[in-house]
Amino acid sequence: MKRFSLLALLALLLITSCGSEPESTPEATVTPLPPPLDITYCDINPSDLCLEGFGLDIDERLLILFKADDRLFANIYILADGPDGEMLFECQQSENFLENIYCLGDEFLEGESIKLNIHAKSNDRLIALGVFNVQYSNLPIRDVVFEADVTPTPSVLPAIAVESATPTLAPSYENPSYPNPAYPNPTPTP
Amino acid sequence: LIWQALSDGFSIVSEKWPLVLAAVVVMGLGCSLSFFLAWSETKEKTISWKSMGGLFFFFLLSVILRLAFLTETFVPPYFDSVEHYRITSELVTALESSTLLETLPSLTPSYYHLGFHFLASLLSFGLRVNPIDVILVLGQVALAAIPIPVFFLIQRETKNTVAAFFGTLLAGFGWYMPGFAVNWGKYPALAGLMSFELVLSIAYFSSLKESKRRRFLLSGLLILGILVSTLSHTRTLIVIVISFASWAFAGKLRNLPNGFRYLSLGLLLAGILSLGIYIQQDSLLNLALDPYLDEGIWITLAVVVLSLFAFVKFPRSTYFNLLFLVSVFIALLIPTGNLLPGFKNQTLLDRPFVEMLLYLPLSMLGGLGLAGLLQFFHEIITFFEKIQRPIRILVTIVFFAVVSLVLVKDYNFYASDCCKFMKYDDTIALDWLAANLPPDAYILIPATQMNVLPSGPSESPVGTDAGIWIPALTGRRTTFAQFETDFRSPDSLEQFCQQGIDYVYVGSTDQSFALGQLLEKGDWYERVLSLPNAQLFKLTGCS
Repeated sequence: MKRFSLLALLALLLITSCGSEPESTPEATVTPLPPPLDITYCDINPSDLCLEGFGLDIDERLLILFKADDRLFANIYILADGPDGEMLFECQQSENFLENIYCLGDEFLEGESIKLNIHAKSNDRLIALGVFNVQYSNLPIRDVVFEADVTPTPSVLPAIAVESATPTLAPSYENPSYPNPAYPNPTPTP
Repeated sequence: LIWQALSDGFSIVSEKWPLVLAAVVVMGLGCSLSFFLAWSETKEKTISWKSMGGLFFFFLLSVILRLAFLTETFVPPYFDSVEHYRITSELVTALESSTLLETLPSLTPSYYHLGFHFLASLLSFGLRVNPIDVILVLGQVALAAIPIPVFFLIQRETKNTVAAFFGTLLAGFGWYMPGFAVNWGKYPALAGLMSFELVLSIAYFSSLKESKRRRFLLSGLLILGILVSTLSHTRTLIVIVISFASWAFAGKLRNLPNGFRYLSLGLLLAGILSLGIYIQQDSLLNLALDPYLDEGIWITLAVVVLSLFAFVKFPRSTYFNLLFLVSVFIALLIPTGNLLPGFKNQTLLDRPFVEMLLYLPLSMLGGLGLAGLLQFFHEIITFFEKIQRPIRILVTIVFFAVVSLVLVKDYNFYASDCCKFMKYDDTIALDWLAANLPPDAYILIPATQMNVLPSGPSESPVGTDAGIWIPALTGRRTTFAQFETDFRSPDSLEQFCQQGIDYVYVGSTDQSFALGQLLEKGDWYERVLSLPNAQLFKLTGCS
């Protein structure tokens, strides 16, 4: 009986202590906000949010490409400081690949410096920033070198197989459909 | 590398854990069937709970390591995977709209291995997860489950758990096959291999049953297993027939007098050698042996040495594996002719499938051989009881160390660049394309002819970069052109204009269209989207 009374007293104390929690002061509840994240290129530092690069489209819009491993960075917009002042870039997640994000805004000139102030859509807080030079010209240009004995053809498939009378590339076993590349394979992606 | 793979695998598990858990349960059920068969087969339980715990740990570790493959992998690799995605998505839609029966006939123009797609669509439907993720995760977990039934087969045959673990390790990581096959998007074949191993287990354990009633029950299970296996991958039916015939014939050979037994062994080895040399001389078929003769030569040599001991101690199982090898090599060379409509120029087993399959007889021989070797030491040094145990432990450690060394040093758990079509920029390009191009846009994408058979390249073109995902992910129509197409040629332009091509997609694989040529002909092809590794051009040169 004594033990039961003690337990009951303890329970009562617990309940009352929960109910009578002192009103918290603003100083006690507000935790300091983390400073904005410094972002860089993904191939330099693939952190929670990093820049993959820039692109351009036909409407002369600049595409800023991000990778956001942390879903906290998924809903963002950018206020970019450029030579002509501040510009808004609307961002969206890739429909099928949610960690990939791209933002669209006015074109910057090649080599221009752009300061990206990345804000959370939910509370407009500045969550990340970084300064970059806009680069378009490093886009790869691959060309095909045709072998001497092969005539380059306008070889549209399946026309090749069915009706094309134009010479086609000789069957090549160099590129079978299921390759066995030298093993171990190319360096894994980190 | 292995620590990095574990770390990346853990990241994938934490990110997609409900799906990983579901896939582990599904594949774990298959493995449990093997366990149940082995467990219920004998009254004296030769498999301890400690071994089971070890096997379970091995499976989970394999799952985590295999999931590292999904790092930076946006979609299942290579060209087959688009079809897997399409079929799975359509099945999910059919499940959602309760129109499965109406959908089935229209899923594929000719028969396709639907077992894996059914499983993937059920998971996708049940968990409400994108089929892309389901295919990726389920494929890796299936790969991790493939070595498990091998453990029970070797354990029952040899009563040696250490040797069974050795065979399991070989089946999982001894060679880069079957693991590398996920780079080719060979998901149905991997599911087929798993099902085939289960069929093999059922058949093997039912052959050991004495009770007619239990045999009858297992026969029913066997028929069901064969159906499931064939549904997973049609070619497993051929492999099942080969296995049954090999087992029956191995039984006959074992009972021959000693002289004939050695003669038959010699004939079998000569057959394997001559067929191997023949295959090795074909510039295309020789790839089938690459994983076992090239980088995997040391493991293969170890298995060859161990096979001698396997033959002495477990003659029937050794005959079975040798006959299986010979038959698989022969099936690789036998053309189907006109037996199967729509499959002319094929052989009974194709090169990639044989390449994936050879790990099985080799790892079985390895496990049987180690058990045989340990028994051999047990018998030969009975006079020196004190050193017998240390020697057996040493031998075991040496063989495990060889495989583990290869595994730690060389094994690659990540996706190979050979077959990764979809890169980061492609994902963005496809999104942009979906948002900005008219719904009826007609897009040119690169292709090449499939080249698997010695008879020459197939007439069917297959995509060679991320362009092949355009119809599935954006709904826009595409058509193929040879990836070496010369875009500077007026003939090419004329042909494209006649075809009504609107756009040209340039991805970033070695077999994407030549970007330089398109840029050179800016008056014919106007660049409408330019990303570092993906481009889209509008055809503007048609008059």
